Amino acid sequence: MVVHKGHITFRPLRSRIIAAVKSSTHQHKFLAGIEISFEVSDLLAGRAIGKRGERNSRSKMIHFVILISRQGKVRLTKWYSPYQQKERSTVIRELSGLILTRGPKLCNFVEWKGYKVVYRRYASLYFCMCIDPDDNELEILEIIHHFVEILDRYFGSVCELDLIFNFHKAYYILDEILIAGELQESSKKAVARLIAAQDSLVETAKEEAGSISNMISQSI
Amino acid sequence: MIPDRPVRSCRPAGPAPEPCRSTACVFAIPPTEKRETPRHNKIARWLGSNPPISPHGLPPSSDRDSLAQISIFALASSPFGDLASLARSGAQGRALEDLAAALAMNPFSSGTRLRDMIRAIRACKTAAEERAVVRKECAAIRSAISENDQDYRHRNIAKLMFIHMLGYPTHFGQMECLKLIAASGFPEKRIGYLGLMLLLDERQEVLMLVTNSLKQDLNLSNQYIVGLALCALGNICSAEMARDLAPEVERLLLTRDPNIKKKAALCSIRIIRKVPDLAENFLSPAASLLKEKHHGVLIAGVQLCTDLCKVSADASNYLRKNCTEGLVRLLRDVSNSPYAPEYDIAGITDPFLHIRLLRLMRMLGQGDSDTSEYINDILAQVASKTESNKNAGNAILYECVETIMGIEATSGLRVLAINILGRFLSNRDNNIRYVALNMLMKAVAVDSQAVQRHRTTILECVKDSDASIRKRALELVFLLVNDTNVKPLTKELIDYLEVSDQDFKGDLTAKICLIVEKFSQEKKWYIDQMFKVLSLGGNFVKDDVWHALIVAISNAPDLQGYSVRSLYKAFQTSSEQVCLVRVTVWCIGEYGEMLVNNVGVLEVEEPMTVTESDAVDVLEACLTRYSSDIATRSMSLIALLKLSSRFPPTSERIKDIITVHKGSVALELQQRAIEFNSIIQRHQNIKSSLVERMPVLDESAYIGKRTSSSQANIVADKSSQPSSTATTLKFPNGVAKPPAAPLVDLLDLSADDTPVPSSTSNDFLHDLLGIGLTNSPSSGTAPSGGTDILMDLLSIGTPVQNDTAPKVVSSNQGFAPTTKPAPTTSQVMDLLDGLPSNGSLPGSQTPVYPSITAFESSTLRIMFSFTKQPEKPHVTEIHVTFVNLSSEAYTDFVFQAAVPKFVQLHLDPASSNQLAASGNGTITQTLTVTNSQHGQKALAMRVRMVYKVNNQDKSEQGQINNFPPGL
Repeated sequence: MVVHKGHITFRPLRSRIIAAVKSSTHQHKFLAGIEISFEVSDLLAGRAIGKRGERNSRSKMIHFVILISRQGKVRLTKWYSPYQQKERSTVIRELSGLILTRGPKLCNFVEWKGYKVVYRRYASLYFCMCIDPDDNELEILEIIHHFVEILDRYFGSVCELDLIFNFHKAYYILDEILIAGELQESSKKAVARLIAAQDSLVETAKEEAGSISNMISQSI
Repeated sequence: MIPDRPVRSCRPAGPAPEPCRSTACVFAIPPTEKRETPRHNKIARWLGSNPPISPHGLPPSSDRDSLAQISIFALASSPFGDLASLARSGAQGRALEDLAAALAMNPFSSGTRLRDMIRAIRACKTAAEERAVVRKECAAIRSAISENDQDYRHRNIAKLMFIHMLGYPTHFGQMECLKLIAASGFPEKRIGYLGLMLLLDERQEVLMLVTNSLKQDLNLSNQYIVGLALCALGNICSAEMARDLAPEVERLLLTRDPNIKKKAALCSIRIIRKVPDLAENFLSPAASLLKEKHHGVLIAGVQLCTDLCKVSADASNYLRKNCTEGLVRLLRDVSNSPYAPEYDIAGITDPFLHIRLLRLMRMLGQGDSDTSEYINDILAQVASKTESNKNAGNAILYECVETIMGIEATSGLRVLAINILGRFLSNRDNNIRYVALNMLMKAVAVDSQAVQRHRTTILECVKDSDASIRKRALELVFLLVNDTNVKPLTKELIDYLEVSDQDFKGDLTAKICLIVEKFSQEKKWYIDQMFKVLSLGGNFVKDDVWHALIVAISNAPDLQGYSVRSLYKAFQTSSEQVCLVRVTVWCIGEYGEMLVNNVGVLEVEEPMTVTESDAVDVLEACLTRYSSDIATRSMSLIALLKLSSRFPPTSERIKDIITVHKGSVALELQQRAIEFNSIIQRHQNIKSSLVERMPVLDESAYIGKRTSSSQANIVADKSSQPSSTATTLKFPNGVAKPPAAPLVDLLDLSADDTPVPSSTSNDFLHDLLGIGLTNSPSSGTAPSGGTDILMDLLSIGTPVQNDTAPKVVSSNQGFAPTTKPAPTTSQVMDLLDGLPSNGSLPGSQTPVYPSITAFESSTLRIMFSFTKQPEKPHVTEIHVTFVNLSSEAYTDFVFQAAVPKFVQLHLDPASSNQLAASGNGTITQTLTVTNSQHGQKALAMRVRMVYKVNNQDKSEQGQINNFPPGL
């Protein structure tokens, strides 16, 4: 597949252009061997592939972040490249099969569909980030650790349950660390300050609001 | 912790509800979770109490009454889901089930809190239970949405996000996100934007609706709201949004607040990735970011500059001129900086900034010797001073090495870099070894000598227990192989093949085969190595590899005896390897007598005695044992037929074996058996000439064919094989055939000298090709008008290249007498091609091809013009021009094309994706078409255009058949 900034050719195709002509003239076993059917699914898939092609542009970036538990439950997903809902579940399924089965002493990188997935296990949680094959894997490990440290400071020795019940908080924190698949802030303190400021904004808004909305915002 | 929907009527007077609610919560956490997360007490703490927990998760007193009472309290405050599970876990409590059922009827029970919903979902023991809970929640949320319930909107979105994470569809909540974003308060916006980023992706059209809200938020004075909007834009913006909102982002790059600035910078990265045309607008603000002090802004700014360099050469020139000095200073400062607690990681100040600076320097130094020279010193400093005992340091070193490899570095610096990689390679940490292997692949191109020094270590890595490292190392070994080291390396790899993991054998076998084929200097070595691979990993060998082996054996008359004997020996030990079996069967069929008579024994061989019936035993074993593999069994049948004339004493036995298979359930086998049987019984007179040994297979034609077919379509590899069957040149068709064409087999065994068998065939097409070609080139092929059909038909029978024909004839001379003189062939071919005879000859002067209107509809016209380079007649460059004939402009215009598989197509990017109305503008795009059957098959193309008119998707498609001849 040749992909250029969103423009795409089909695979050099088994095209019906010839196949149609042939099958109409000589229905022969021998010819049937070379008959090439035009794959409609390819045509239909063309657009999806084309859009996905954007992912393949050489920009080095984090394509997605996934947190999976040892049991294969998803705890957080963040997609910086366009993946459709269906693709997302396939990706998660494939990656948990790949990563959760790896032994403890092996390296933290797996190659997957032309990408690399850098993962690191913290207690029962696997933090995975998918990057381009020529990106710096070691740095991604540092980014993962950076994220975990910030989570840890925010929740006070974070555990999986914190991330389950306060998943939105985890997302807020991730959004202060990564944007567009790129690192945003290298200072843990700065992130903590920003999150605290926004949390207090929410608190103030709650206090200002009437009793009904007070109840609601508390319950989130 | 106020229950949000108190059902007062159910609450009896009695003990305070607080402890009871927490009891319910304890129920909800499955025991397994408790073990892995020792902090479950924390939840209890959140809930305001620390109740005693019995080992079974039940409250200490478990008689029915108190349970029922508890559950009533739980009912007052906790969700239906919890209760349901509670009812199930306390199996003795029928009362509980009743309660749960009663609760299901309660219209107020749907308004559970987020926390309670999560708990309910986690309490589910089966997927079906989980689905039921989710379905219930979704139904409640849907009805809240349809009632336009504002109070619970943000809670509903939060729930949907959780449900989305579990993989359930949540599209119905998308509009709610937009409503939250449009609200004025920060809390609503915060959750709304989060929902937007999670529940939508950039392909959904709902996203367009948010553009206005984003624009408003970007213009607000509250930095946190602006931050939210920037974050959302940076994570999911589409090309249209990028265009619409780029001015806002550009303005925000110049604000004073570092938080906004860094977010705007990263947002700009997304924008220029989506719309590279906008890059120049961001250039000068990006350059000014490099002068900042704030690390967050610096990191984002450097990253933005790197991305600008990727999309625009002007940008890199500008940055090279204006910023190199500043960057070097920055890197020096940060690498010499004293301990800075805020940014420190493992004793290094801000490795992230280090890495980004190095990366930008690589972009600037690439192909520019002045800049490279300027940054030499600082790179040397970073490479030699950075500590390598922690991951952060290694990450910097790794990036530094990549930069050194990427720029025009001095040789001293390169040596330094390679040494770092050498150190990495001997590191005990698998991660470091992995990246070392990764980087060495790039280093091979720069200094392969230096990489060769680490060959033994790399070879060790091929045998590592870690699949990632093995794979990397194998790729690297492949790059390291050259003429001098190929023998020891291949030996190592083959030795390892024997003990390697089952799932690694496929990769390993493929690579060994490639190496052996690419670097074989002598045939015997090649054949030996291939036999070894076949006997160790014969189940993983690709078809074209063993086909090539057969072609090679057929071309080495002095090694045929040796080959068949080695194969016979290998078969005794490794008869479970499919490809080995096939090659063995083929060779015994062809060279069976060499096996028995020990013809052409080499000095290294051990003498062995094989009787004729031993050879037949092998074939019979294959025929009966490989019940699942019809191809192998068919090959065995042919081989048996051949042996029956070579080993007269065994012919009765062979006849019996063949007769048995006349009743085979596999159609292919049955047909073959019946045909062969009739040959044996009724056509004794022609049998010996029918089953003569195959003429030498044409190596160059096979290789040419193999490369073209593997390029054209790897998947269709098998189905393309039969196209060689009718050729008068001999390909290994007796073997390589899918079970489609049994007759053809027979025919082309003898097509050269015996017209008889082809007349027994009822295959008129074959007559046309086989006999028509050899005997009557001028008759029967009269319609040389060259319609597609005929050309396609006939090109099956024409040799791949003109110039191979004479060569084949000469190589055939030692064998069967050839009746077909070479000149006839080329005449025939010319005739068949329906082209001027010099039209297909390479080297003739470049013809000029007329431009064509390839496609025209009421809304769109496409023109093609063609250019060709004289030395590459099969490559055509097509310049495509699109004209919009309608009165409305098209956006997102994408052109797609499909070609037959003998053609390769390469599309360059289009000049634009906007097409102005009424022919006022054009898009141009260049296609490069490589016709692997140039001169034999005409070009054809199917095209599809997808675009938007007023944001509505449109598509058109068509077929182009009016290419000028000779492309």
